[in-house]
Amino acid sequence: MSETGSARKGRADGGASRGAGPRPPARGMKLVLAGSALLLAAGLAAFYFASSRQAGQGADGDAVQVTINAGNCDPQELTVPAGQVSFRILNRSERAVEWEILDGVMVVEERENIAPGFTQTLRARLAPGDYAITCGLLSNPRGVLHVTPTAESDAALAARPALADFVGALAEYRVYLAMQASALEGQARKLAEAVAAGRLDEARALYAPARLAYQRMETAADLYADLDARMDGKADYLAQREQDPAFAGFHRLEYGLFGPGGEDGLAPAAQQLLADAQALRQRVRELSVAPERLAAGASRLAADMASYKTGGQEDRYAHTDLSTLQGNLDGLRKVAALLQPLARRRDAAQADRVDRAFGQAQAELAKHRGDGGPAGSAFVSYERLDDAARKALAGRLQALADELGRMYAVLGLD
Amino acid sequence: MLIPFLIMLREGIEAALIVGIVAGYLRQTGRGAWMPAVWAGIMLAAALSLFVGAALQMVSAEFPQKAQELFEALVGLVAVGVLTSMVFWMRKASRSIAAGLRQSVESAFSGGASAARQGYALIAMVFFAVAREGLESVFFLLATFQQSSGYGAPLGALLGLAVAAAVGYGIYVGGVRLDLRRFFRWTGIFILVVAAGILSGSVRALHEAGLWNGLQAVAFDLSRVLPADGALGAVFAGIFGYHDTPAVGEVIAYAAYLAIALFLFLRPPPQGPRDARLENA
Repeated sequence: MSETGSARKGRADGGASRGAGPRPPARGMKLVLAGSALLLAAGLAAFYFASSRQAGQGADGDAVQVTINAGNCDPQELTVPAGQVSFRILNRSERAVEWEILDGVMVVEERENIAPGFTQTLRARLAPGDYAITCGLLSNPRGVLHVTPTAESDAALAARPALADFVGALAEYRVYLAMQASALEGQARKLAEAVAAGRLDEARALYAPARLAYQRMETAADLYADLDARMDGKADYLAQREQDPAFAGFHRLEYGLFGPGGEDGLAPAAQQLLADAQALRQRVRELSVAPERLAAGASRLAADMASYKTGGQEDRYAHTDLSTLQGNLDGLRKVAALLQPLARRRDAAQADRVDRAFGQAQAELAKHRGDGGPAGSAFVSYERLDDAARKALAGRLQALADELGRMYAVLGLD
Repeated sequence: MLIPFLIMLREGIEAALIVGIVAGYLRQTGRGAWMPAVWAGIMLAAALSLFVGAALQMVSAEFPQKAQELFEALVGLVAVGVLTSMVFWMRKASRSIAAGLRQSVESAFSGGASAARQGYALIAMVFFAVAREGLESVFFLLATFQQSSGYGAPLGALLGLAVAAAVGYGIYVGGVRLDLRRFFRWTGIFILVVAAGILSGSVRALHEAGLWNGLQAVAFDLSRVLPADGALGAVFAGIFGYHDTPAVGEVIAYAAYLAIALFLFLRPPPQGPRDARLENA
């Protein structure tokens, strides 16, 4: 501290700004200074005591030894059981190194600043799988760490609900899909007939009900992505947009019936939609649904509803966005209802929160119900919602997406 | 002995830098009375580090490196924010100084409560800067004391710390010797370079804490040309946040911050009359 004193003197001749600022209370400052000096001394004593204890005792007996040489690790390949593992890393190279266990680019655990000749210990809880280990310099070949499953790690896996727990829910969901697909086929047939006969007003009134049935299935759309791309594909993703020959499905009909598309090409598009709906109905019968896929699809759909689908671009000509959202919400609710008994056993509070979020989202949507909506929809045109109403809706849907995500995590489906 | 020396030099220099800059800044802006508080901040942070290191050793617990990396990242980001705003405040102040209006600088500080708050914020900065590097250093020191048979390694490590402290003191003295206008101009540029290094270090720490995993391709590998544990590399690492094998994300953060901050800092002030005033100064 004498250094400060001399600096103060050195400053005295050159500084015009001395002493202009507010001063901290002198006595308080002295106390603080003395107190922290005391603490520092105590810290030094504790440190001395700790470092004079014998090192390297304890759990080192079963630690895995890794030696880092100038150009590699020894051993370069390790096999350890899953769970808590101790490593003793000895640096035999000339350089200070760090040792990392990597899962892809993700650092699982690491030790930095291992000086030459020094040992560091590292303890990590590892899940079964293969990891990379760094060995000194970046240019050195990386080692491999195999982590083998143990009875304990298997048990941890088993603590997740077994596939068998989901069987009932999945079977019921398949029935739901089949029913919607069947309804869709019926609607698509009526739509195709109306278009073929040139009864366009009737076709317009059939559009929203057909689309509603399709949107109820969207949670599972990943499982028939090829059909979905054609039936629900947007012109935005096609090279020539609306003029692209591949433009088909609901949005093609929407473009013709409600947009500037006109009558040309409507009949073949309606026919194609019917054919796809029939194919989908067949497909759904033998669909095998994994619970993870179902949860992932539902999570993605929920997030999509809160963002893109409330932006007014989904049904940009028919403005049946609200009806589309209702269909999605129905589908989501079905998935959630099937999984909820399982979730309730694990975390009843979370299951309640999901219920509440569904109720709030549904109530927000129901505010905009109205007769005589566009395209035979049970809701008013989405154009009639101002920014605040759209935001309110998106907010409820986002809250729902968050709660659903948490419920899937409870089920080990994240 | 050399490697422990360089490791501690590298770890110590970064903390010493911030302490030196803050101390010089307090002195130059007429708040020398706050210096004891700076010392208190240093000592408290050192005590905290020692206690944590000792306690972990006692219960033979693992050093929670991930938690520490997260701490480093957060403190680093705060430091970047504080240093940057300090630099831009200085830029504004230096214009009044150029105009010979030293009085106005002083009045900026004699704003009572708000000036005191600024003082406390800077001292908290000192505390966190020391604690940030201190935790890592203490653990390394423990290892050197326990594992080396001779006195070489612990001595080297302590010498490294001492040199780092000397560097911080040098920054302080150098800053204090400069006249105010130059002090503001040159330390401004220097601090921005330091802050860029801290920012890219925070990006790395976030990765090592397992939170940020994008842009992890290695941008370049200089570990054979200028290793970070060599003498020059250690000094560069301490001062500019140099790393011998940075990831792309770290380089982008460094370059983008520096480009934007230097542009804003060096761009001429909006009004013209400044030139005339400069001649008077």
